[in-house]
Amino acid sequence: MAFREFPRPPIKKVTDTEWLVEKNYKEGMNVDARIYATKGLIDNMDNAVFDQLTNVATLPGILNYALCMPDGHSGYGFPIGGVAAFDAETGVISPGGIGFDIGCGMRLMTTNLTIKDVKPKIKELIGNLFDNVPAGVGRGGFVKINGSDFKQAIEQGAKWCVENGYGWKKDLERIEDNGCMSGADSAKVSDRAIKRGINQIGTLGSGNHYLEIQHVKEENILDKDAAKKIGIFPDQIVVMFHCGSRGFGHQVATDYLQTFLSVMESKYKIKILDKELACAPFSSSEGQDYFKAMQCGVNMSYVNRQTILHRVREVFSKVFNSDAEKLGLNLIYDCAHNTAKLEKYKVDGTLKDVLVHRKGATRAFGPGNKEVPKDFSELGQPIIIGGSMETGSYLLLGTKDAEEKTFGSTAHGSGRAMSRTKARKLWTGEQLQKDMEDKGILVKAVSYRGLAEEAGGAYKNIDEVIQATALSGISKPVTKLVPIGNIKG
Amino acid sequence: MPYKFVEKLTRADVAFECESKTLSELFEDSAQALFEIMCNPKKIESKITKEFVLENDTLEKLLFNFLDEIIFLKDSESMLFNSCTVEFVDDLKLKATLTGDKVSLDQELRVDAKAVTMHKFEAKKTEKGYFARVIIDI
Repeated sequence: MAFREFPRPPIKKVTDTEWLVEKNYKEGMNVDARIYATKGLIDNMDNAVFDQLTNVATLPGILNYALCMPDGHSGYGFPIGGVAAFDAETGVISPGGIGFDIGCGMRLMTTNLTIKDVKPKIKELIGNLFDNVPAGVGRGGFVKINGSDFKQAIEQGAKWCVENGYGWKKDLERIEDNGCMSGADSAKVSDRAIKRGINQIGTLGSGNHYLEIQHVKEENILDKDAAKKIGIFPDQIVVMFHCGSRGFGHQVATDYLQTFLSVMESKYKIKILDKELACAPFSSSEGQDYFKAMQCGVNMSYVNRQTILHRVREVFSKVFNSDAEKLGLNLIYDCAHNTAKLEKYKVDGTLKDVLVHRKGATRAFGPGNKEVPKDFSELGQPIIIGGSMETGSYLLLGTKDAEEKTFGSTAHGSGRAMSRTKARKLWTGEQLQKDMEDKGILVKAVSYRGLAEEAGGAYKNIDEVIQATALSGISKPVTKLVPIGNIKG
Repeated sequence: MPYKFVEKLTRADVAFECESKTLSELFEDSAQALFEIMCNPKKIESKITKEFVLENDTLEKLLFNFLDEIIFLKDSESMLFNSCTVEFVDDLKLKATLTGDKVSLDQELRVDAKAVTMHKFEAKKTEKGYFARVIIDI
């Protein structure tokens, strides 16, 4: 069955890293679409990105622009890398603007170990992490709780973990929202969602989710002063992981997508150009119910990552025969990149309550913002952008420019450059694992096929994505981090 | 093969299409495609049987619910399947019987299916039988 190839719209250059598709391009667009990218990145973006972004621009109550970050690629409804802010009074909320994996995000933690300490133990370390942080399809975690405890967990987020022995109180200051979106209401989530998530606390999942041991090479530190203040030093080993709210969040999104499809046109007279843009007025009962359920999803993602952090501390303690505090296993930051949040911005000179959807986009608040942990107040909010398992990842900082240009948002990853099928044609998991080991990266994966799909070559060049965020001023790179060990589903 | 994976429909996820002779086969073929995404069904033993009954008011909604139920069983009961039979007890009411086993690392696991998306989703009667197009979020 043939599909219409999307036409490439006229794209107007604003600066070297900012591009516009004007609102007269498509009927019904309320605002322009604005893309942050280098010329190289925008030239390689698939045409569906522009089609989806201009569809987003038609949604009621959208403010300023439908935005796309430099790692943008096509998704459902919204592109991945999409950011859209809606007037809290007149705008909508859309599950398609958040993604199925609600709260999916990144964590980065320090150690006081160096490459010399870790290299001889990397096999033992990766083996133990693989055994203690379950990854892969349908795998359950070690936290066994009943339904009422799970409801508490999704309402309290990472605080629930700390109260139950999974982590330290000071961890909470280093998590977006201090680890809890306070409007979460478990009464707004289905039993089905709870049943899907209750056994999955502390699990990675699969696809592009991973846990990585990374090396801070001296030549990769781009901002020495900021790195030092954050606790990063040359030759240090750090730990990064990427995962979300597991089956719980996926089910919350599925449930509300169906709810919105059933009321959107009949009750609210909203017409959309793609079913995955299903939405409801933010102020409606359906919109508010979803917002409360979505916050449970974000909290579940914080719970999941906090529990994994606890396991990582246990594993390092065991392997290095020392306690986690002595090993300096401190959280740098946890940022979620699939969210909708109520924030305040000046729009046309008036301070407004704005619902910012970030789908595969990271919050990037600048220095002095009250949401930034006090330890980083002068620096800006830490941003963790995960690259492919072969090429490395980045730690960056948020900026005032981002708050002014992109509703405080930046990229979240490197973005896929090819399909999973194509990646499997180019690489086999077994060979890739061997090649990576030759390059000094030990990988342990549940699925060789899944491993092949995540090959470095299947992703865009992370350095170019970071360059685009830096040149446009929406974030400030601190250091690149290269992998030496990786576990995945 | 009654189902095929379609590369050009998605970059980050997995899409499949089924052209099946009967309505029951459309559901069975779609289920088989979903199993193939998550694991190698040949490596799953037939140890546990699950049955469920579903009904809805349109064919599309019924197929959506049916695939969503398989994903639900994967997470809520850690179940992966190797086969599925679907019997229509009424126009839009089905009884499904699935056989499989609990997830374990010695099975050939592939990628997690997070959700059935509505993106380009179709289920319809055609001149030759039935057609479905599904994109699964990975």
